[in-house]
Amino acid sequence: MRDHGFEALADATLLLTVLLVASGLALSLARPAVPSDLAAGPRYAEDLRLALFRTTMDGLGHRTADGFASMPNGTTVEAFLRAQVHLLAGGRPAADFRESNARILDLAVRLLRPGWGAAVTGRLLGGEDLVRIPEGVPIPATYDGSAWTYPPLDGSAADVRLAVAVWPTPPR
Amino acid sequence: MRDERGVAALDDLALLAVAVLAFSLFFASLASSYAMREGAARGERLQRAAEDLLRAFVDDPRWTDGHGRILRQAMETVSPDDVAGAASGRPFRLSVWDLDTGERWAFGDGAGGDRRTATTAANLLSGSVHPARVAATVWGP
Repeated sequence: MRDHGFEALADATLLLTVLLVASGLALSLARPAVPSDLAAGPRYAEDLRLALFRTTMDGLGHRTADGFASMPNGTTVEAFLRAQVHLLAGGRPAADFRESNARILDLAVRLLRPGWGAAVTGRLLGGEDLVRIPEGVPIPATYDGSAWTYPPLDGSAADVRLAVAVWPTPPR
Repeated sequence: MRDERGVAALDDLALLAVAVLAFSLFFASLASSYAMREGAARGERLQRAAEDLLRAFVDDPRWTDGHGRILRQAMETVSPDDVAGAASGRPFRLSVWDLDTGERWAFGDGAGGDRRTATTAANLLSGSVHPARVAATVWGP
């Protein structure tokens, strides 16, 4: 090969390198854009919260040492959760809500889109969570949520805040 | 004895081969990039159409009593034509599923090809309030 040939080959290698980089750039630009509808997640959380809280159920209640204290048939999930926060905040930690909470969890799971997780929380405004459905399952750092604040049931305690969090599984 | 013109031709041939390879890779990646972006944009458009159809259905006062509160009685009288307006002329299928009773209502026939689905939670109202899932699927080019 002549000197001129080596020079040409070096130029060609340089051209190849530049075009390979350009190809990589072109392909990286082809990645799907960031989802443009940023409101979709919060909107879905709102829909789920409304659908879950508006649903009426029979036989909701809590277990005590004296037996099962049930709420009237047709009680909304929202009313039951408000009452639950009220009772737990009012010094009734012995009340066991697990049976009814398990039914609410089952309902939430059936309402959820496939591939999504959800949690329901309830607390006095400014306080720690008193209700967490499901129990012991951490909410991911990134989630979409919807919440509502209610006046206290008896006018004595702080407002009650019920919230629903949703996230795709595995979390983003 | 070496033929100088032959050696020069071989050098040029190597240069040409590398240049052709480089440009082929570059233009192939440009074409792939364009195709991928178009595909993503098409999917995005379809997804948006499915979301729009879903929102229109759960807000329509003809069969709801407010956002997501679907009147069970109205489900018996809704026709696919009533729903079709919100599908912007695309083939669609919209289904409402009562999660308590298992009853389902479906509107529209759908079609073959690419499709996207949007799903949300809602309620069916009668004497009691049942949980429901509503799903809208649209097909399109």
